[in-house]
Amino acid sequence: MASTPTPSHHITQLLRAWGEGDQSALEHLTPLVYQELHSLARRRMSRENEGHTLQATALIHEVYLRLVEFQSVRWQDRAHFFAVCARLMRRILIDFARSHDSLKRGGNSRKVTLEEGLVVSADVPAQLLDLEEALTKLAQEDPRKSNVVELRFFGGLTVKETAEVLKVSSDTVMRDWSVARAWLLREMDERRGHAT
Amino acid sequence: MQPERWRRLEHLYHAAMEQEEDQRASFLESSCAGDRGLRVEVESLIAYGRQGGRIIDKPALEVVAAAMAEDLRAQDGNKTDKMIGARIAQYRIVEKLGAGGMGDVYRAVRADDQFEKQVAIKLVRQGLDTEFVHARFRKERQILAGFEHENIARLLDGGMTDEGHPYFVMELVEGKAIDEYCDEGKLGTAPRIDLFQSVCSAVQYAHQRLVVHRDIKPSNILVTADGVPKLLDFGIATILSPETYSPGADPTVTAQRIMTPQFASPEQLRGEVITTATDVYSLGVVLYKLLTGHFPYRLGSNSPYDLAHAICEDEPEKPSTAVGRSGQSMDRNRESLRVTPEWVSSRRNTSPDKLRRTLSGDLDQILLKALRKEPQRRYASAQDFAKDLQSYTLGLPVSARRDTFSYRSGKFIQRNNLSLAAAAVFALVVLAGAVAIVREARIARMQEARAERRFESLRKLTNSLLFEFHDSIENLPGSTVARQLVVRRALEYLDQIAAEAHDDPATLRDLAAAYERIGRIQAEEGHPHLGGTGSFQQANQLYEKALAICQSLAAANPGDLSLQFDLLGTMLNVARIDEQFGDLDRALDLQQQRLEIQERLKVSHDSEELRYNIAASLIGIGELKLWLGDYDSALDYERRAQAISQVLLDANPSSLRMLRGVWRSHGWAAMVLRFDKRYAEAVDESRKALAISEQLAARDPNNTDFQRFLIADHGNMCECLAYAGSFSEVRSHCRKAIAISEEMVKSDKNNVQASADLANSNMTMGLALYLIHSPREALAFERRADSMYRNLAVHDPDSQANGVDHAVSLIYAGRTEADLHQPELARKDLEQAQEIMERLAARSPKHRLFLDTLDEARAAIKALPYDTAPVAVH
Repeated sequence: MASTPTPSHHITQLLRAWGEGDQSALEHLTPLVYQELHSLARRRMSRENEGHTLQATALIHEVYLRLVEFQSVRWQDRAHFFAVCARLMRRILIDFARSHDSLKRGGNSRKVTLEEGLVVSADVPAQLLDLEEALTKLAQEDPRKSNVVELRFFGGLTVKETAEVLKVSSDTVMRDWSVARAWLLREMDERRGHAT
Repeated sequence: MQPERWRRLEHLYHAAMEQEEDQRASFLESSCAGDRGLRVEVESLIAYGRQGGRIIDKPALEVVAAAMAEDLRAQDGNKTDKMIGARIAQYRIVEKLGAGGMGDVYRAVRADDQFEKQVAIKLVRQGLDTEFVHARFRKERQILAGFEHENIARLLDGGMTDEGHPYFVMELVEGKAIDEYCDEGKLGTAPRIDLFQSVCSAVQYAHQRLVVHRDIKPSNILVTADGVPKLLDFGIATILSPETYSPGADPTVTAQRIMTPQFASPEQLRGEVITTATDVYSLGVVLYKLLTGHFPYRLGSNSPYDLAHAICEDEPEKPSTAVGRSGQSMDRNRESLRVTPEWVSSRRNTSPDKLRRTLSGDLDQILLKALRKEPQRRYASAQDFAKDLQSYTLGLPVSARRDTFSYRSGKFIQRNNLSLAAAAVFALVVLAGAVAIVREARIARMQEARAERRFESLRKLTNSLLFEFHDSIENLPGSTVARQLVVRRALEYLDQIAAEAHDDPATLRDLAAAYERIGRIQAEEGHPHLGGTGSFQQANQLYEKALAICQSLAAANPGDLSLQFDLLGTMLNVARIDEQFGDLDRALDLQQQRLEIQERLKVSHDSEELRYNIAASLIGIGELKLWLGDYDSALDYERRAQAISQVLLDANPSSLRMLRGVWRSHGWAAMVLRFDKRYAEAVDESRKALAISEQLAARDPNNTDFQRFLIADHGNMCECLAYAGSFSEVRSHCRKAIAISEEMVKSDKNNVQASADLANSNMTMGLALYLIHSPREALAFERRADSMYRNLAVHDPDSQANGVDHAVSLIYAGRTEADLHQPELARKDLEQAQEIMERLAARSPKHRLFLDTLDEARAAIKALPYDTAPVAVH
């Protein structure tokens, strides 16, 4: 395990370190993703978005673009880079949802404030956590399908990009996605059903 | 679940999904073959498969951001209520105009103004927390507040709220984003270009003041109802960009780099140095978008890789081809929109075919030139970009086409005339570099290699700055202001860094290096032919600052050898510049201090290297003593250097470097003796030096230094022998000197040094021939030397050595002419010699050689027959 990174760790190095198993890198990555999330939310809110010829997922891509200095990523690392980003997003967003959810249970307010300005409606974190649990279960049944979901949902990748990362055909990704999606939704609803 | 059953379930699910809906039940009935559990499961999956609008159907980041946006909107309602009516400085907030990733924009009025002047206030969310940033913010604000340009939204004021959020008070611009304005008005290509040219003039204006925008995009260019485009947010990205903050900045904050990827340049995406060329690129994307309705790259997907890869690697599509593209797009309200050639051309009040023909040719080339990957191959300035568009409009040839031609034929573009903006580019690069050095120094522990790379690129860029200054900018009208600005701002930055860098030795060292660098630029600028010595004074101050830093560092860390060596290096540089600009006493003082430090170091850290350097210092001191006319002391120092060098050589008999050290001390001793008119001894000393240079040249025949040593020694021998009155060998030595220098000039015509050596050999030959009473021969050599020195002066008018040698050649030409009864010619030459020497002596008033040569010229003029004196003519 690598030593504790200092605050001056470079983002790309952080990503790399984290991808190689350095858990402490996450501490430094999380606030950065939060910042981006915040500014993304701001832009959504004001409906001010440049580059409007790109589609919704482009927003996520912009986040990546601002996060990573491309000089330090080799283009051949593309697949690996996507995989790490998706995993990172999953980890950070789930942690985010978890902290909101527990705060919610601690207090009574419908909304929780994690830090100044970072607020989220109560329902989304809970749904995310349900999905996460279902996804973990899916991974035991069928790891590839769980990867497809991780890359597409958390990583924001297209079918084609997902296929590239997993080295399968686009058709396979579509089929995996379709069945995994249905399975997860059912799993989530059943869980919800048990909870209430 | 059993893997077998899972596979079967999956298979059935897909197969059933392929069936028509009304066939599914019967299909499953037969396929499940009575396995009721299986059938129920497949059916439930199918039911879920057909559900839409669930959380999973949008990327997670979007989902969370959307949820947050909703809450922010609600929260913002409250906040807005709080802000409305609130006061920021003397402004009262009236309403919210919009919000962006960076912050919110409000309409406000001047509370104490009876005319209720309206303004826009941009409140930045990001807090700025270090003193350094505050100071920097104030400085930048000042510069921006001075902007007055019709197409730039004026920055009226700015500051920091109590919570530490920066705000900017700006001219209120009510208008539409330039692309919307053009599309809604169905403007054709010509009026779009027209509007865009105004934008270029705004950008040019800012660049001349060394401010880069960094985030030029349509939503930052509003067109008012009167049709005037106004560029917003100039300088704000720079103020808020962490990479410009330097010392305390946390490098991870580069994540907050302010840019809009679609309009960002390759260098921005790569995190490289940002210059005015970055804005030229973004302007190119804006114009591309205005003219074609598309972005310059045809992307395979929305992936950041593809976008970044395209921007960094792909050639942009020709605009005339791009207008044929069809694709899904989204307007500002995120409404999906199908962009077709028909749609694009209808917005431009034309047909697809006409639009394509309008763009093809000149406009294609102009846009492609603005979008070049390499900053230096784009338009040198926003003005050049606009000019080319003007040429297009007027039907004149455009420069972009020539560029394409030379590009295709594989030639490098050779710009003879570097424009003002290009000067600004270099300037900014140097500033950014100077700041980067310090910042990188902090990261250096982690990123040694990267810091070195930056340092190296800074060094290179500084060199090119110097080069460009000499060759191009000095003749460029109006560049003086830019040059002064460069230096002024560089110093501001460095002084700020200095104030922050209290005791961090690494930062201080780099700071000293930066001061020295800029000092060097100033010194070059200080050359008399570039106009005055004003900036030389500044150069000197910078060197002194660097020196002071090095001195305090060395004093505070007496055990750190590298700091001591840094100090020695800086002292040597300062001594050299002092010598060059005539402060011989100060140079001598520094050299003596260096020697003291070296002697002290020798006690604890004796080494051959140190001894070699001590010998060099002794020689340096001897040289200064020589110029100051203290010959005895000078000789003493040279002898001490000789002794040390000889010991070193004896210990390393095969070392060429040590042999060279011995040569150097003999050479200088010979020089001292000659000036002291101890000619016989000078001949002996020169002979020793010559024996060594012959040895050096024999052992390494390809080393041009050694050839130059030979030239110098033969010349010296010739001159000393002539003075000593022993005429037999005079001619042969000088012939050798001339032959070797001719050979060297022949092998490298551009070698200025070789040309100077050749001139010097001719001068010496002439002088020696005069002394041995062969005036006609002497005159021929002096005339030759004279014309060579004239040529040299064109290239390097400030060389003191060439100047004094030229004067000597003129003096001996004049004397010979006087002897040959051509007093008019003689007077002309001698007066010119006098003029040269007066100039040199004015610059270095204690320089014995200069003063003696000046006296010699004056004496020779006095000795001329009276009647050749010029008569005043009325």
